[in-house]
Amino acid sequence: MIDANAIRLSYGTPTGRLLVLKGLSIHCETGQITSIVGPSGCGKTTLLNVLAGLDSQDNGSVTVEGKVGYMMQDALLLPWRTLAENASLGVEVINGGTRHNREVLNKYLSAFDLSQFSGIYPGAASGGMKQRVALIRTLLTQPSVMLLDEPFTSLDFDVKLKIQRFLIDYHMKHSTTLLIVTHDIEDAIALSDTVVVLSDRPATVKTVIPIDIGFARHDPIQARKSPLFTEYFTHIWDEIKYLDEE
Amino acid sequence: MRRIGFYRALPLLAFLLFWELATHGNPTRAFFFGSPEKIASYMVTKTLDGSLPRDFAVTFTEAALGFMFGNIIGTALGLGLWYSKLAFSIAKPYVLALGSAPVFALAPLLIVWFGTGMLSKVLIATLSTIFIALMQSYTGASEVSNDYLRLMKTFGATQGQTFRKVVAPSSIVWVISAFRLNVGFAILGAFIGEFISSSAGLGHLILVASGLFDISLMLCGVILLTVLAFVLYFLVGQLEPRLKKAVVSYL
Repeated sequence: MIDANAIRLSYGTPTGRLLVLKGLSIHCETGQITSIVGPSGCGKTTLLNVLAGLDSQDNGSVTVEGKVGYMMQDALLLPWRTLAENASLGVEVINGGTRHNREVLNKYLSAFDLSQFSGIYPGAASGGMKQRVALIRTLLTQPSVMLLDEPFTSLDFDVKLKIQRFLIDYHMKHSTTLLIVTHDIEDAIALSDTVVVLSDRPATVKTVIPIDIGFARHDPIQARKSPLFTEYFTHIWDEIKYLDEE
Repeated sequence: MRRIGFYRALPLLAFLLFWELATHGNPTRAFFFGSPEKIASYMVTKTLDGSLPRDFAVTFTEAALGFMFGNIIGTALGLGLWYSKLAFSIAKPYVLALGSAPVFALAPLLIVWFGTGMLSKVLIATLSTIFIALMQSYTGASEVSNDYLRLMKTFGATQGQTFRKVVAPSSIVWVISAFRLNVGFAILGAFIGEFISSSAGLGHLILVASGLFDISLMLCGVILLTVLAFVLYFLVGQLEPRLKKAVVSYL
């Protein structure tokens, strides 16, 4: 469960304080998938940083129940480790040693089409490969709460759908709470129980839209075929378009 | 590759030929500039009588030990200071003050305190290298991207884990770069020590030769100092991939 109440956060800049989050409240039930959409630079990543405990809010309270796994916007792979070694970094740290379950790692690498590339270094990997490794790195730590910051941006469409399907299966199997920041409205609808639209900076919650597309949600392709999909898309788009007109 | 080797050697061969032609049969020029023939002759005779290998071994030992101690202690201190910004702030003026003091000025003190034997030369070589190793390794550690440190924080990494998984491997390039810089400084330190007071070593050889105005013998010592530097560079080159691998694999 994630509960952020009246979060206010500002940064010091050479020209004064820059208010990023202005009394933002968000609530995600255990085992739910919530997506956050909003204008570029509105403070979505900052919100995740606060929820992950990397940044501290000026005011407000944050409660995150469960083990948090945070996939940051940049893959941040260590250049001296192979893709497989990077994928196991988090679990190495958590286990306090270098031991990790090679079998599980191989399963993920295979599911993410990375088996052939596990021995290469990040310098030789594509952006999509790095992003997939970053996601595996988060999944291997077996979090009960996952914060994903733009996890699909560098992925080709077919790979993205495959990984989304994998994520949904993982979520159903482990009842993981997912909070996804994305700029892609389609991804948000296809994956989420709830879509939260943020306002421009300083960010507040503009609208919370529950998504109900029935069993189609279990499959990101079927979800996109759902007749309700377009309605949700239009609804969210109107909210974001409205922001542009402000 | 062979052709490159040939072209590399060509300027040297041309220079030696010119030098030899200019000094051959001209004792005045040979006195002031030495001669390749005389240098070669010294190389052979002094190698055969064992004096040159002994001097080389003495300087090599002093420089290598000073290089080793200076780099190990300096790197350990530099990386260790990453743990505490406060400790670094306190240590910084002392490090800069001691690091900027010319070794030539401190060398007589060390010889007074530790005698004219090998120990004082090793300490001078250590002193010549320790501050570079310290500053390089600290800079390497402190320049690690903050994003990586935040990433480690998301895993709940301890400071020690962050050091082992991110800081140490990330700093290794700086540490190796300090090693390369310190090859010259270690030799310089050992040489200065020998030049001030010694009974053996290449510095001693050059000092004695200069007293005798024997330019060829002096140059013989200089050439051997260059060979010594090449040997140390070669060893550092051999160490580099192994050290990188060890840091990434075992930390």
